[in-house]
Amino acid sequence: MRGGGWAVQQSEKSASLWEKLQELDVRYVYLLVWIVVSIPILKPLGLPLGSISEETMLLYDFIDHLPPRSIVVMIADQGPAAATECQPGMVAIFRHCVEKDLRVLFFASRTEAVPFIEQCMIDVLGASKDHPDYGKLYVNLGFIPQYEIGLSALAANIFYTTTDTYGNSLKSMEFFKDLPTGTAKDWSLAIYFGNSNVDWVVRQVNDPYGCAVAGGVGAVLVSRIYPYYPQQVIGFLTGLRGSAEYEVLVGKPGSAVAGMDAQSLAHLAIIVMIIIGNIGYFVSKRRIGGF
Amino acid sequence: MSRVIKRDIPILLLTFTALFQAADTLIEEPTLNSYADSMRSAASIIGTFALILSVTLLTRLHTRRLQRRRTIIESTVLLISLWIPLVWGLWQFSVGGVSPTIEPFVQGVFNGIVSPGDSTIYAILAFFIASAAYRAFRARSVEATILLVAGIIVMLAKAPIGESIWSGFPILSDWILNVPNRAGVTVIILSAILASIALYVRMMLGYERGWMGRAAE
Amino acid sequence: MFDVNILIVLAAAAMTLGLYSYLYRENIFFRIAEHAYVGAAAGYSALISIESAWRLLHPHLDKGEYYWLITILIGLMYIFFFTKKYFWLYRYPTAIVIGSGIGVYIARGIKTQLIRRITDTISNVSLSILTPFDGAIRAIGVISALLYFYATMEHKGPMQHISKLGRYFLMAAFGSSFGVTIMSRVSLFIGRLRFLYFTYPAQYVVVLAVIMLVAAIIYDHVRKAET
Repeated sequence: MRGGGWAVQQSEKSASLWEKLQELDVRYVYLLVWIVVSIPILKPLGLPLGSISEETMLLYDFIDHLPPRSIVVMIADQGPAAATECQPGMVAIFRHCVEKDLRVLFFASRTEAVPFIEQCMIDVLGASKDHPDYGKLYVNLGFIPQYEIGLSALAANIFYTTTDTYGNSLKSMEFFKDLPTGTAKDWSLAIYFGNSNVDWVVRQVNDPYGCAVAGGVGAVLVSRIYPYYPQQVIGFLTGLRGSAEYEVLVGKPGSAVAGMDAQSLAHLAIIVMIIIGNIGYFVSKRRIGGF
Repeated sequence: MSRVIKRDIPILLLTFTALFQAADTLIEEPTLNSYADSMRSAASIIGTFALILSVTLLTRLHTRRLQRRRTIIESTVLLISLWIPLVWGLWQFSVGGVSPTIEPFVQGVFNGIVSPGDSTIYAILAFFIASAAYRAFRARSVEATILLVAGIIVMLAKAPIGESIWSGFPILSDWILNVPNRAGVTVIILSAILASIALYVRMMLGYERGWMGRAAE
Repeated sequence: MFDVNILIVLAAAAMTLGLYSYLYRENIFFRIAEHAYVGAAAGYSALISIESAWRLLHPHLDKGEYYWLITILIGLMYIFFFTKKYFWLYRYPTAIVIGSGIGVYIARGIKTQLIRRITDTISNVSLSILTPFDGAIRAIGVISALLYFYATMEHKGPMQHISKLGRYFLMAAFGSSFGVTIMSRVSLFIGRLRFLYFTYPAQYVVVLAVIMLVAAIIYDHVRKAET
């Protein structure tokens, strides 16, 4: 709009700036996100992790107070996508279980999670099936198909698969020697790692057998866990942040802690973009409403 | 007779299997529990063959594309990446007794193609969410404002920088997650279970026949 | 001595950057990476599933229970999905698998997701230090949000205000979900970047990708200027 004096022309210029920002090519937004996340990865800022959240602390305390040789079942449901968030937590929790002399039974509820169990054992123990305590304190059942059907079968009968993933007979292993019932009643804790949902674990293991459930879950699942927490899900790790907290608690900071700076800046950047977008929207709205 | 074999018996089979498994979860009786255990094993073995469908469908689709000279490079890449690890892995397992979970070539394919592919496809959403947040998330109404404010507080609390800015963010976020979020998600869970019960009862009574596939007469 | 791990890292970096190239625009590298992933993932899943099915089956065969081979015959009936005349045979294995899933879910689902959720809502457990009335606020939130979905009564008068309150609780839940979803996706991206920047020799693929991106941008600009 031409003419109308200096005030109108200035208002047109600043309005068009906000409108230009709202019409910005989306690829500039992608580039900004890429740069903002890359900077703290390449040059860490050293931000403190902050206080350990209550849900992580509850899980840590629960495992810390388990008597030696208690059975902890780790349900690996993390695909490669969820592994970035869940794998550091799985490694940290397994490390804690090893320190406390707990028995750990691994199984995967999806095919893509199978290598992550191997990797977890190698990261903590240095070996998987060749470790001297394999078969005594740690067993890997590999992939058990059909999710809830598979867990239901395993919870009813721990010898459901008859062999571990390497073909060794379960009944010959010391791990399974002194089980009172051979069901999930013998389990002290079942920990779910993944991104899908934790309902089926609670349904099949907690309500029928009274086994406590925990989660090392991707952040996307966290809001869905709260209805079960803390009565049925006694604690959980919230994505990469929760894994970082557990790494700090077991005294071995790793990739999760290293990623926290980038997480902070990325969140800030997205919040700033939301605020700029909303300012632009309100300014445009007022401008249109004013004429 | 034809309708009985094609439609009614599958529905009866579904109903019987469902009620048998449900009875097993409610009744502790060794014979029943043992048969139910066997049924679960059988269902797990049978369910594996559904993957044959996915492999066959992919192969059929992409061989047709190759025959029609469409997407030659992409379809060739897909068929190679599908069949070579599968055949090699099956060969090593059946003849050599090597589990695919430790077979080096299969694990190499997993680490080199499947794992980065899966991670990247989900990670790319970070960009789309950021651009959607910038272009579309507007506080147009009270509800939208509540959504935005709750989201921003939770985001700030879950990153270390939030607590550095203000120590109240984690406390506020905890309250949001424990109180209104828990209430909202509880309602979603309740709605889902009620809908599931209705759906499964309809399936068992034969009113819901979508699972039967085409021409469910 | 050729280290096969280097080849795996190079392939992983090429896959990652090929898929990310979609952010600039759709291109042949993205399509190749996408198709490679779909094929390899399907093949890998099938392989692991076959191995696990064999692990469940062979103990029965070792014990002489050869009738378990019927499960293979029933499973093979899935193949009839591709026929017109015998398509109905596909419904038999489907019925068994879906029926087992329903049975395992339904009785326990009613207890865990219906009864326990109701009892836990009205219990007094409160972990928040912000207000002492969290239990009451939660209960009000659940009831009002449930009434928001109540479609058989018109939302007029007090019902209108209660359902509006329920909507606010649902928006708070969706907002939290949005916040944690962003956190989750950003974490995945951080994982990818850490791999690209710190794993040898993925950095070389990154440099190559940057050069190709710059070339693509220049090419697009030149083409746009010509038209």
